Amino acid sequence: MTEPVLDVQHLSITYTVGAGSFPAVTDVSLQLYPGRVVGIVGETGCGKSTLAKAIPRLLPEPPATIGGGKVVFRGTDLVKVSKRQLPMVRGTGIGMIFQEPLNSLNPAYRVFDQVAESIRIRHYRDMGYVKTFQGGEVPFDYSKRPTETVASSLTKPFVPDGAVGEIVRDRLRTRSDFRKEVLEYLRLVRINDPETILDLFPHELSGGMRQRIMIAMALSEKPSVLIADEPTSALDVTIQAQVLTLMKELIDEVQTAILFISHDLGVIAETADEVGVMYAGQIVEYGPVAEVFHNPRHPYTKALLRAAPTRYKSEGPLSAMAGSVPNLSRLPSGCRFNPRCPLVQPLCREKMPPLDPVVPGEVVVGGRAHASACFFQSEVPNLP
Amino acid sequence: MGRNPSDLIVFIVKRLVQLIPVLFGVIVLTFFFTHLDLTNVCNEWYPHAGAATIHNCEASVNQPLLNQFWQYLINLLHGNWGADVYGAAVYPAIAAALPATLELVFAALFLMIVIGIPLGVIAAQYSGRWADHLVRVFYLSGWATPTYLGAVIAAVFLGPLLGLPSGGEYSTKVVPFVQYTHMSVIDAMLAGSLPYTVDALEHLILPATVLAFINMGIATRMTRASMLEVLPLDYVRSARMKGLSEFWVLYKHALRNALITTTTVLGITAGGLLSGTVVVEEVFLWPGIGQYAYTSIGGGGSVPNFAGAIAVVIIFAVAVVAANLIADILYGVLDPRVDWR
Amino acid sequence: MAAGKKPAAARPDSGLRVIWRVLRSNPLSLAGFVLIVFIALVAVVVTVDPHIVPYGPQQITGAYHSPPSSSHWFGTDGNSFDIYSNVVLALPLDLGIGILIAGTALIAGGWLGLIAGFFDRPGTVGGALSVVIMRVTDVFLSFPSLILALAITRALGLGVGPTVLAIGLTWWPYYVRLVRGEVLAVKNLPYVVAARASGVSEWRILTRHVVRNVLEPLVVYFTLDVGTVLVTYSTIGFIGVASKYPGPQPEWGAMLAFYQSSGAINAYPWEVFAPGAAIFITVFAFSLLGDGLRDILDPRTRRAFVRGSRSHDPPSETPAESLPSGTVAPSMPGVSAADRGAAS
Repeated sequence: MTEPVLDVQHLSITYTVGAGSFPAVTDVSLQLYPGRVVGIVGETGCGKSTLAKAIPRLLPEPPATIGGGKVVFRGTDLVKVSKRQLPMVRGTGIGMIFQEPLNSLNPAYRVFDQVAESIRIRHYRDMGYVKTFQGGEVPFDYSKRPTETVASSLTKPFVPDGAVGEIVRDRLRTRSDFRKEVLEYLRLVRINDPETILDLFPHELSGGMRQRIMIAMALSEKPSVLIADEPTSALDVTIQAQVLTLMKELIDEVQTAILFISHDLGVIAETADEVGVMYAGQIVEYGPVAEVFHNPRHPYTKALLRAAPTRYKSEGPLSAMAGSVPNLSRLPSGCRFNPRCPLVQPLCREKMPPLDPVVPGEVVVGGRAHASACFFQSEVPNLP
Repeated sequence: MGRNPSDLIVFIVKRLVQLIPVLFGVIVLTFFFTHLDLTNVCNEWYPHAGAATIHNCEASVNQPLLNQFWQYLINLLHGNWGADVYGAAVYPAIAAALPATLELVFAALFLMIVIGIPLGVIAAQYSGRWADHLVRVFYLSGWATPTYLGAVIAAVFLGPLLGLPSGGEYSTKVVPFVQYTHMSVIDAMLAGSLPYTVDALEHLILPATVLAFINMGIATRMTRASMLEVLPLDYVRSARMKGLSEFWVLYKHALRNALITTTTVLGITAGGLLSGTVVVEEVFLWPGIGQYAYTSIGGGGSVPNFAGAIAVVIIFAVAVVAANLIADILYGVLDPRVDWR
Repeated sequence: MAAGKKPAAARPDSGLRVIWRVLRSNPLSLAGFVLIVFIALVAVVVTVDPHIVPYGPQQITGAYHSPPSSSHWFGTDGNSFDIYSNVVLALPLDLGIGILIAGTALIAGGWLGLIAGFFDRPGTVGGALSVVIMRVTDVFLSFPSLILALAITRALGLGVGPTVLAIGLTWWPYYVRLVRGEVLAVKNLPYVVAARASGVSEWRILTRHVVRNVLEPLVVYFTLDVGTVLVTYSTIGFIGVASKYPGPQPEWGAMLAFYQSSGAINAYPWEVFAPGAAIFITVFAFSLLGDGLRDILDPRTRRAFVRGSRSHDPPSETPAESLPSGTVAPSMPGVSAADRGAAS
């Protein structure tokens, strides 16, 4: 198998607020491969958004501090990269789609200018016009990005050896040339009448429109890794479905590695190849989506699935999970799920269970094997 | 959908119409406030005038106030703004002095924008840290410096220290070219004379800096406040995530929005800038309206000029109104959410 | 609520508490506060006993143009008057004028603003009154106050009294605008609208919600404003229209004007610097305090302040999700939890 494009190793993040500190993410490991989608699912407050923002180092530090671990992107540990060099990784290296579409676009600029800016950033980096990434262990090279994408076939072929000429041409590119490329991306995200939309300001657009434009902007930079942090939760159900279909198509076409974060099990089941279930800042179960959802091996996953209303089972009362998400400043000792767990044993209060493979001997690191952080995972299928 | 440039004209015309009652109010107020104590008028304003002038003055003062006002209004609209004790007409004097003041004020405004606004951005970027405190001390000291103190220190100490002149518009009394605009730098540039342009700029630097330093606080403070409001917003994070460097995130995405509020505040500084010219122009011998105001009011023991003082008050008020109008229009242009209709 | 944190105070935003929080968090404001206390003490002492300074305002000391020394801290001038004594004797006047004018403007402008903001429904007597107040205010706001005050001073006759009156006449409109803006903002707050909808009387809304919310920004603005008045008055003094110097009652602006025009600045710079520094330090002190206070009342900067200081808003159940986005719940100054409860 190929190298992971993004390798998160034992990442821990702490928030310090006043005198207290909260472990928002504890010892999380993940691997992302080109063209594959990893889903992260969990309740509000489980640390999934923190994880998403921590990867491109978007968390304000302070109050957040990266307590340990590595975020290796193409051989470079982003945790050690200086703040000045971070922008070089963002956008073309790691792209992100945010949860809130309403305020994610700059109200002062027209849609055209905002999408064109993203495209321009990619152009300049492809041409080597902007300095490439120098920090970390291995120099970062943008040319290694997979560039065989739908989007690139839409634009004129890029001539690497005539870089200087290209810069000049790019500078001289008329607005109408740029317009064509921006229009292609707006069509890519299924925007009707993109010609009109281009010249509008964000406040003149609906939430669904804005979210599509955000997606178009993220895609137009052709990132190697795309982090989608609840990209659909703020949208209407019908638009949600459209956007999801769109993203799935794009995943197939564009060989981008995607980290898809959602609290919605159905959305994850539809989009992800593998899924990690997060609870109180930890990944408690990990594995292929079908495996995890049909044969959960962690009592939390089981309860989560039971609490979720499915499309097939609409009759009968919805079941709620006992207890609530623990306060991160007062975590229980041992397994963090133990106060709510039906299988709880004294051992669970003493020791933190490791993420062990369901089939003994399978390699967990690499992210393909089904694993669960429960001492009694074999008993989980017997739970109601 | 979208905004139509033709609507902008409607937008501006609407604002202009709204100004008419304000301008009338300005004239009314100025007239009545300067005629508050009628028994005093002739002695206060014409201390060294001859008996004839005093007599004329008393004769006009003894008329009913409304008649006087009516007469004044008619004269004002005819461009007859009265004369000083020596008979020099006010209107031409003010018309001649206006360009110099505008030049000074715009130079100060320019400095406020290119220095004050970036300082506000820096303060917001490092809010609560030493850079923020330093910026605060800087703009508050400008705020706390009385204009005359700043002007005197700049003229007497800073000028010689930096080798900058601190009096007048040019080093020579007479310049060998036609002064079309009566703005020193622009005239020198129009004449194509580099030495005179440099000379005019050197003369402009100190008074403009003093004026800018004293009024900068408002711009810096407002920029800082707006930036602090804008920086945590989602679109700033989006810009960062696009891969833009911190400089572009701050100055293209965040500041563009923060500027919307700063603009309106810059309109308000017009009053402070104009008030400042009264002292700054006097200290730097700048031949503008400020200096004219200083002498008209009887500053430094000069002979007061009643008609001139009234005219200056009205002119300054009109300038403030105009500045706020421009700021208002700029706000409408800068903020795409403002509907022009 | 976070562990080990004491519960949030019932009235987290009461005036004194706010001031103390600002002072603790912002060293510059604390410095300003300490300075103001010191200046006020000196002013009180000098008012009680003017003979506490070594020399009288026009006392001939026999030392002409003597530079600062142990016997004459700020030196002497060409009349051999002691500059230190004159600077200190001028303090009560300058400070008093600042407080008097700003205070009068606060009360007059504040009431007008309250009326204009609260009774602004068109078609009523209050509505008509409100329109008139705002029109007049707009006209006043068009004048640079210094230049209008100068003209009025001249019309009324020179001296301290006319100058104070002139500045006072031009000063109140700022307060009208400030208070009216605040009142309109408070009136449209969801909980005030809810209170009105549930039948709370207008009078009760005015006293309980509006006045309390308006007071704090008013006090903060006042703090800054005392300094501005002082600068304006001393500028009029400098132009030579307000006070005569030397005279029985010295004033900083007039002192500076006198020494500057007598050409002393090059030969005897201390004569100009002493009164200048006095004005600067006094105004600077008020500005430091007022600017810091304003930070927390301004909703724009409040958030940064709350984040920067030790947050008294406890983190919500889910600090991980809610904190990084910088969404600290905005709390209105002076509104207690009980108020909100009563409104809903």
